[in-house]
Amino acid sequence: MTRETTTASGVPLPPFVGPEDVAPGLAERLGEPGGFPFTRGIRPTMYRERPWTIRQLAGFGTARDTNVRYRMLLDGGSTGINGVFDYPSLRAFDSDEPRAGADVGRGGVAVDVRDDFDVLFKGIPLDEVSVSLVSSQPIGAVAHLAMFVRSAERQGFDRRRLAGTSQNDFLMETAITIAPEALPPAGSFRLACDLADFALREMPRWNPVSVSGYNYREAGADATLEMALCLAHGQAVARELVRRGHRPEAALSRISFFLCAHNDFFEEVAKYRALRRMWARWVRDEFGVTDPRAQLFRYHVQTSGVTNAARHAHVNIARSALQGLAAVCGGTQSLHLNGYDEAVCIPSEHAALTALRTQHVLLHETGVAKVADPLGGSHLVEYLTDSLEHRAAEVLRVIDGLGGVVAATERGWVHSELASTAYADQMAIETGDSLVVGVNTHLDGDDEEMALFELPSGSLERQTAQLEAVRARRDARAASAALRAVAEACRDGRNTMPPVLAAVDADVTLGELGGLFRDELGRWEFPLW
Amino acid sequence: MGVSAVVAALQGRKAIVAKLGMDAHWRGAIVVAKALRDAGMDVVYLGHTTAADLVAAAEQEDPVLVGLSTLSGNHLDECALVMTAFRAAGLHDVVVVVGGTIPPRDQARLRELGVDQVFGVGSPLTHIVDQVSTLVAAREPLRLAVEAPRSG
Repeated sequence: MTRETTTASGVPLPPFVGPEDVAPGLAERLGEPGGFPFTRGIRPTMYRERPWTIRQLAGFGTARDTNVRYRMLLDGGSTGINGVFDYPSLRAFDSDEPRAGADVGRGGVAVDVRDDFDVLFKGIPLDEVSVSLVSSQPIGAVAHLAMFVRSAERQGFDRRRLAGTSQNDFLMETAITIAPEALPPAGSFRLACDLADFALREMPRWNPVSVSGYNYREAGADATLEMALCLAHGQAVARELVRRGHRPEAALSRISFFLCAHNDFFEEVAKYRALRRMWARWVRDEFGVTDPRAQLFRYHVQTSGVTNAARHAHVNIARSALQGLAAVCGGTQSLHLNGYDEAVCIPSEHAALTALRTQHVLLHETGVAKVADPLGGSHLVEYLTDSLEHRAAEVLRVIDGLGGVVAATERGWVHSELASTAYADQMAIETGDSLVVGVNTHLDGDDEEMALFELPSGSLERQTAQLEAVRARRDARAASAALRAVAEACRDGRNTMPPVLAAVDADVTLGELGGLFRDELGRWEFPLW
Repeated sequence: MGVSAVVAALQGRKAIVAKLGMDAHWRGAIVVAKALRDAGMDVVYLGHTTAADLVAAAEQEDPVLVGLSTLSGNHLDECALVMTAFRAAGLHDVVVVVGGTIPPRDQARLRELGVDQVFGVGSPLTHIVDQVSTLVAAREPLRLAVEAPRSG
C-alpha cells in the first residue's frame, strides 16, 4: 500500500498535475497583475515598478545598541526598519519589574519611556524610512506608538508623514505567545482597534494592524489555518473599524498582513496568491467596495524560524534563500530573511549581514523580480491556489460558526488547533515522515564553530538607571493625573490613544500603562493545557 | 514508534512543565508536555513561573520531574534563580531538565548550576522521554530515602 503524497499542509498531490486538474474559469480567477481579484499581484508591473522593501528585523539591548544595528542595516542596503522589542516591553512591563530582569534587552530592544524612542531612532529620517514596530501585543503597541509619535514630533516630524506599521495583533497576546497576565481577548482586541481608529484619523501613512499569520504558523498552524486565521482576524478588525464610523475604503486600505514563508515552495507561492483573491472578493462582497486600493491584500513576509536547525546552522542560509524565493514568487511587498544562527542565539552581525545580502542576490541576480507572478499558469500552482482557497474557506466557516475569531479564541479553539498541529508536525519528524537535514537525516559531519551573538554587557543596569532617572525627574502629580485619564477612557469606552499620548508626555512608563490596562481590562489565563 | 508508548519508569508519575521569565514561545513546552503525558506521566503545565512559585508548586505537587522551557536567551539567569531556590528548599530528589534555544557552551554552564539535562533545538521527543526516564529511575533511591515507599 502506498501512502498518499501531500503538500506540507495536506493537499493531495498527484504524480503530475495537468490542465484537467485545474477547474474551468481560470482566467476569471486570475485577472491581470494589478487587477481584480489580484491573484497575480497587487501592481501591474510588480517589482519592476517598486522592489519589495528589504526590512530586516533587529532589536536587542538598549535603544542605543539597537540604533547602531538599524543604521548598519540601512547603510548596508535595507530599505525599511523592522524593530522588535524585548519581552517585557512587548507585554508592557518596566525593565525593573522583578520578573523581567533576565529578559531585558533579549530578543528585542528594551523601552520604558518616550525618551527611549528619541535614542532608538536618532539620526533616522522618519519622513523617508518606513518603520515597522513589531509591537506584537496590543497592550504594548498602544504605548509604543504613542511614544514613537510624540518622540518623532518633538524631533520635528509631522505625524501625518510617519510611514510604517504597528503589529498590534490581539491573537499574539492571547493565543500565539504566552504572557504573564495577558489581557482577555475582548480587551486586547479593543485596544488594538483603539490604536487603529486613532491612526486612521491622524496617521494616514500608518498601517495600524499587521495581522500576523507568520506567528500563527510558527506556533503550529499549517498553511490553511494560517490563511483562515488571517482572514478571520482581518475581517473582524475591518468590521469593528467600520462600526466605529470609518468608511470601509479608509479602513481597508490600511489593514496589512504578515505571512510566513515556510518550506513547501509551491504551496507557499499558492498561499499568497489565494489570500489576495479571497480578501479582494470578501471586501467586494461584504462592503460593496470597488476601489482597488481598498481591495488589496498587502503583506510582509518572514522566512520560517521553526524550520531552521541548530545543527549545521550555515545550512539555514540555503533554507532562508529558498523560502525568500517563494515569498518573492508569491508577490510580497516586504521581506525579512532569518539569520542562519537564530536556532541558537540572537542574530550576530555576520548572520544579519548575510541575510541582507541574500535579499540582494534574490533581487539582483536571480531574475525573479523582472516579471509579475512568474509561476502563474503553472498547472501545479493553480491547482494548489484553488485547493488552498477551498480549504481555508472551510476553516473560516468553522471560525465564523464559533462566533468569530475573538469568540473562537475565548473558547480555546485557536489554542487547541495550534497545539495539535504543532504536536503532529513534531511526530512527523520523529517518525521520519518529514525529513529535516541535520535533524533526522544527513547527520554526518562535525558541527562548525560559530561566533555567537553576545548581548552588550550591562544592558539591564543601563536601562533601569535611565528609567529611575526619568521617574525621579518627572512631575509625579501630572503623571498620576495622566494615568487616571487613561483609566477613565478604559471605563467609559472612549478611545484610549489620546490619553495615552498625553501620559507618555508626562513620562508615564510603559509598565505603569500596562498595569493600568491589566487592572481595567482584566487578566486572562490561557486555555493552553 | 516509541514516542506515544507508555514508559514504565514514568507511568503515573508527576511532572511539572513551566516557562521561565517572560519568554513567550509555548510551542516547545506544550509539545514536550504532550509527549510526557503520552509516556504515561501526570503533567501539570504551570505556564510562566517565578523561582519561588515553582518551589511552592513542587512542594505541593511532589513531582519527580520539572521541565523548564525558554527560547529568549534568559536561561542562565533564570536557571540560576531556580536551582538556588530548589537547593534552599531541599528539593534534591526532583529531576530538573531545561529545553529551548540554548547554545552548546551554555548547556555546560547549566549543568554546573545543577540542571540534570539540557535539550537544545531539534531534540527528538523520543530522546527527551528516554533521557528523563533514565534520570528519574536513577534518582529513585534518593526519593525512597526521604519518603515512604509507594505501593503498587
